[in-house]
Amino acid sequence: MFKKIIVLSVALSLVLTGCWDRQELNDQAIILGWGMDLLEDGRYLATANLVLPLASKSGGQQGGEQGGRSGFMTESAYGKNNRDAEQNMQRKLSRVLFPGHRRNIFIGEKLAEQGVFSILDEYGRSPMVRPRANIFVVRKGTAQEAMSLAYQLETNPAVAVQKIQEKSGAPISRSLLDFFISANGTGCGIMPALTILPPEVKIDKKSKNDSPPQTTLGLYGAAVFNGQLKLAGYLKYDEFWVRLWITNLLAFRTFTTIINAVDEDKPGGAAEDALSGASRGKTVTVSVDTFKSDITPIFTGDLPRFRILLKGKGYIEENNSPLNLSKPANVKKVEARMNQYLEKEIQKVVTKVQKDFKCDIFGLGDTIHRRHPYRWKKLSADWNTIFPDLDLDITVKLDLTGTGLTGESLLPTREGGDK
Amino acid sequence: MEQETTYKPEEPEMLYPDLAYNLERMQLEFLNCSDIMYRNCSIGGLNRATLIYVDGMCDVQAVDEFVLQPLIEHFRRSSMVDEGRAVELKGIFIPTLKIRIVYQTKEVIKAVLRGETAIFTEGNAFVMLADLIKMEKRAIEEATSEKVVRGPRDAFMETLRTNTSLLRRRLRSSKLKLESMTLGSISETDIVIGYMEGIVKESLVKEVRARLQKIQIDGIIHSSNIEEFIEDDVFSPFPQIQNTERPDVAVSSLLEGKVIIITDNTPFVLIVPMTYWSGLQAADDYTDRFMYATFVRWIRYTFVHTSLLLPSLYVALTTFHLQVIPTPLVVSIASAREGVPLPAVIEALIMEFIFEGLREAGLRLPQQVGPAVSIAGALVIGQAVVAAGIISTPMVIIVSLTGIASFAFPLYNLGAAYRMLRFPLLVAAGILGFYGIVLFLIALSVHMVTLKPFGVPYMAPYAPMSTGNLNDVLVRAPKPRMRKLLPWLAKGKSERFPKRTK
Repeated sequence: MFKKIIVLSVALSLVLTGCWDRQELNDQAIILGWGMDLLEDGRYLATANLVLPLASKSGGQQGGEQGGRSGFMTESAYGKNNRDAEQNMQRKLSRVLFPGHRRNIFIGEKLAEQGVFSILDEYGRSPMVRPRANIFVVRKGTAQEAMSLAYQLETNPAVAVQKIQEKSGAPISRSLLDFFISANGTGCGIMPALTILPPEVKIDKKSKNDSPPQTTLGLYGAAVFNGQLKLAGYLKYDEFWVRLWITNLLAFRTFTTIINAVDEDKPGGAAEDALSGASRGKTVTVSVDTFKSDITPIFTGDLPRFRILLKGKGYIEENNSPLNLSKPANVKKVEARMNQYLEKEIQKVVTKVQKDFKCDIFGLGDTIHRRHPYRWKKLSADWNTIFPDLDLDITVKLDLTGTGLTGESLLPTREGGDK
Repeated sequence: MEQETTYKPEEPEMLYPDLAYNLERMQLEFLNCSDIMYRNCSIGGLNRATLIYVDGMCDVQAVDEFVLQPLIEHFRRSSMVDEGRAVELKGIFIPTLKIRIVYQTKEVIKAVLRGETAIFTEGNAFVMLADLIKMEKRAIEEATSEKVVRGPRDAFMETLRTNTSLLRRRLRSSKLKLESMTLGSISETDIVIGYMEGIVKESLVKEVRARLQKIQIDGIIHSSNIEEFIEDDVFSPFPQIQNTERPDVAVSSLLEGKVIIITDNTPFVLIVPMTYWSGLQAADDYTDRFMYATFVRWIRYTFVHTSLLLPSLYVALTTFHLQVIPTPLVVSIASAREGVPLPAVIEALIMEFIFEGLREAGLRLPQQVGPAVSIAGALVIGQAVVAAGIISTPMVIIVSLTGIASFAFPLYNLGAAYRMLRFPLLVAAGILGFYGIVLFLIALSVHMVTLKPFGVPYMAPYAPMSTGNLNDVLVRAPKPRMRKLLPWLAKGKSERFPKRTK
């Protein structure tokens, strides 16, 4: 009897807890994207990208055609910080804001310039948010502008930018986490940057069903933040991969360079012959999908030097030069030329980061921290002043393992090439 | 006669040499029993013998040939009433294999009711019982509840002796013991306890025998009547006694050291004790190649646990832990649920309830109307309810998947346990989410590991762990590897065959 009473009271206490977390799916407004802008008067403007379940339903039934309404809505509110803005936004919404799926965070350029320090805390503190989120800076624009833009290929622009970022060769869905990590390491941060891209050539719609390229969201590159977590500058789309390669994060990338006409297929020509300062000529494209970087700090005095060995494995995807790629010697020439080109490109970007941004976004400080922890103790305090003058010895070693489906081009003759 | 019984009730009532008196006694006993037949043999106007039998249970042709004809011939030869010539009388029925002489009235009555033919003769205070029973019985058919792709097709049937012969056919060993007993104060049902001497633990046989003898019941209609009487924990949702209609399953259980109980008039043989895992093993696991058998077993395990967990996981995920679901899935579930008026828990409960109702209706309906239920069910639930926006599409998927999964159990009543447990689990998930599910599962596991049918742990060989026996639980090892018997079942002999040496 006593046992029964205990069992009954335990069972009842479950029901009577009074703090049910139960929240029906249709009483929640699922946030897919969240944007923060700083206004002139110091207030924050938050923008939320919400899923419109009804619209996606009707859209689905009509077989992919947009059913009159888009699959998302944007809502905005002023506030003192993230949570305050969220509360202010709630008064316009019939459903509870649910940030559990907030995978994309947009930051307006103005806010980035003023420093993101003041708003980032919430993205790691609230139990509802996911740490594996993307964080973007909107170059030359506000978060709201970027988020209001309809994206044609996806139902939701927030999902679109996330996928664009995934396709850029960068690690998937972890830019927020990476930002936290690098800000705690060398003190600098880097995050992907978006921009609003108008079509290259504007074409008018001639009939209702025409679909000319439209203004859309695109990846600009990466935004670099200095020690105060203020925006220091941008790496462009053809520059940001350098940092990913050096930090061992790059997944894939295609490189195109020019092979000089002088480097034509001379019998018995050495690979170094191809390096005769190509400035004009025909292009060769190499697709690289395995990257490795090897950073070795070398101490000769108090200050370190770095030897950075960048390795990659790939294959030739396009060859417009007269080189006959069925001959291995010619592939070696492409390899040598490509190494030379990449070293130059990388050196350019590294110098830009060192001299212009003065931020160690390559994780060089972390390497010293790992390899020489005692030396790092001495260096860490003024690393940001040491970094710009560091001597970096960069070597690129590409390994081209294939030439695609054909060795020799399918085209009959090449100007200047062997027949 | 009545005087005698009142006079000395302990002493058994005996027959009289007077045929007419004996007959009167029998007629009194079988008053209003229209199926009891009397056949008089009158020679020269004198009734010299009477045959009593139950119509429909007696092999009339054999009685004619082997009893009636020799009897009449005998009476023609010797016209006088012979006294004390039992041996001679018995001698004339030599062609009959089973004939015995009985002196007690009660025994005669019992024998007649069993189907034997009683031969009363004038001047003899005994009755000859000819065991010429021929009852209508169906042929051995294919098992209906446990189908196999490969393997023997025969199944147990209602006749006890046929069932025991099916076992004896497979185990030609004197070690196979088939103890007989009678249960039920009115029904007098024959029960056979079968076990393999030398493998089984005597204590187990003794326990089974003791529990069976303790049963006080008027009639045993089906083996399930016995099941509930001898079960360890009647208030558990899990069956603790396995039932099978396959002789090969019964035989392999015997070889594992289990005890079987065969009940007359029931095609289902009980196997004690049952473990949880034996309820999840199908006969086909042992006929398929071992890799495929393991694969199928894993599919079955997945489905088995799906049938318990899927609806509650769905409810918990969509109402408590939305962040766990991948984003695109959330969006599509949210859009499918848009406009559905009911909370997810209620939705799930309603749909599960309807599904169980459909299943029950499909089972009970006469065969001819069966398709009507499935049509109505498919149309109403699959189509109209979703179209009307009362139930969301994912819920229909979940419920039908759960329904299919709940039929993947090899043992029907274990599936019934899980099907029933789904509802409290659903309520727990609806109130507390994952927390509730985990609480419920903890309580369930505690219950399952504490079950000990006939002294054997229900979750053996996993809890408690017996490493030598794991080759037939999550995997089905090749047969040369399945050597060990469960230590809780086997007495001294724990290996089925010596280790193979190459």
